[in-house]
Amino acid sequence: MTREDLLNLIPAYAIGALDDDEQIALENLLKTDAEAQERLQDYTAIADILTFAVPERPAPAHLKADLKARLAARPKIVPKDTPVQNITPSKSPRLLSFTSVAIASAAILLLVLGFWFVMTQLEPQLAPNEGLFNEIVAQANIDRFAVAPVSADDASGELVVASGGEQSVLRIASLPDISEDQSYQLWVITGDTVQSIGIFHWTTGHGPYFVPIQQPITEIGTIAMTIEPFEGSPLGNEPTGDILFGVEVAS
Amino acid sequence: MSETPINDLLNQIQVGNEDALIQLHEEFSTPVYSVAYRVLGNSQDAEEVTQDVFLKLWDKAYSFDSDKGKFISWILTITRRSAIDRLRKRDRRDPPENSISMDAAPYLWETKLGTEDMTDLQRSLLSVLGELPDTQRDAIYLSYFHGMSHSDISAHLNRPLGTVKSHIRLGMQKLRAIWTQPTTQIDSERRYSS
Repeated sequence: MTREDLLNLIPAYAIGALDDDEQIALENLLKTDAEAQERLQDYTAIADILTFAVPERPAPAHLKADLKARLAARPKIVPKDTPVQNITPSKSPRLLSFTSVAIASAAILLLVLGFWFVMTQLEPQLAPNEGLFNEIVAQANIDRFAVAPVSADDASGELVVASGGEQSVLRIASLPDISEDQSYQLWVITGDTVQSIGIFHWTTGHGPYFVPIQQPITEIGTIAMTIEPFEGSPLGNEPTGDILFGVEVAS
Repeated sequence: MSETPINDLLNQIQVGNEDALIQLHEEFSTPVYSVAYRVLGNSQDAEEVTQDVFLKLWDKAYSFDSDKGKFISWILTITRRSAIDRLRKRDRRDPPENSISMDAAPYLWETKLGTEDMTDLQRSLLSVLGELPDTQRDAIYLSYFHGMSHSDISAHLNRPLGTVKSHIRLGMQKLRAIWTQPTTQIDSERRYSS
């Protein structure tokens, strides 16, 4: 497609009408083309206003009580600044009997054990492969590639690649939820070659999820994810669902 | 409701004040429900999306950036996307009967936006939208409110792909012509704050 062809796709892009191949081509142009970016700003603002072309339909009255009930069923958010309780020591300490000391010692032992138990429970539970992700992030000279949403507007995350390119982990979050008969499927696209690199049965799209990428980073053009039937794409190494996001590795 | 109280309510939501969320729900549940219904075409799904949007707001109130636009635009965009996601999961992307052209005279949201919130420019734009040829407006609506791509619309309307692309491009270009026409200083400043 010529640049002019791509510029003509911007109105459709702003309202989400592009097919995947057109969208990827236009997004590449948008990275560098100031005129394309300016046009997109206009069309995006226009698209926002289209929302107001909807007939008003009063929300049912029971929704308010329903929302309250749903809130009550969710964990409360606790403000970070909780009040500190003041503890004042006794003014006149006195000698203690052996029995009192024994009871106090036992109580202290129980407190220590209880404290240890609570602290171990409170330690953050890492998601699978999150530790490996954190290890790479802590290293020097790593490469990072952002997750670029395509059809999943809220998708976020990044691919981190350890120095040397031998280890890499993809962090993904905020994907659209899927039904029980669907799966998330991850793909590596290099040139004309598309290869499935995993099928994931996550219960929600919320995440974050951490996926080690086994392929050498030099052999990856783009990583992408789609929603497919439970067993994966029926076409084998060819996705059937919309691309949720892309991670462009090869520049 | 002006933006300042909205920001206050959003701050309250972030520290767990349920009453603040309920207040926003009272104020915005009808626009949210209206957009969800427009996409989904039935009250049951529209109610679910409405509640999901406010629960997302409960979890992610921090993600609203008042520098990037008005709250109502932000929450209605979330609503439309959530409704389209639900439509896709339902695996039935055909729009409800008679829904394509039912907005020939676009509603102006006066009750929620008020005269001070909606610029003449925005009114003009919605007016021009109502005057677009049906073929152009239908194609725009099918994409915007039903998440259909060029190919989907071509198949749904049984029209050539190139024709569908032209309809969307021409319709949107007419709207942009209104959007970019010389206007008053005030409108110019407010153009991107819808």
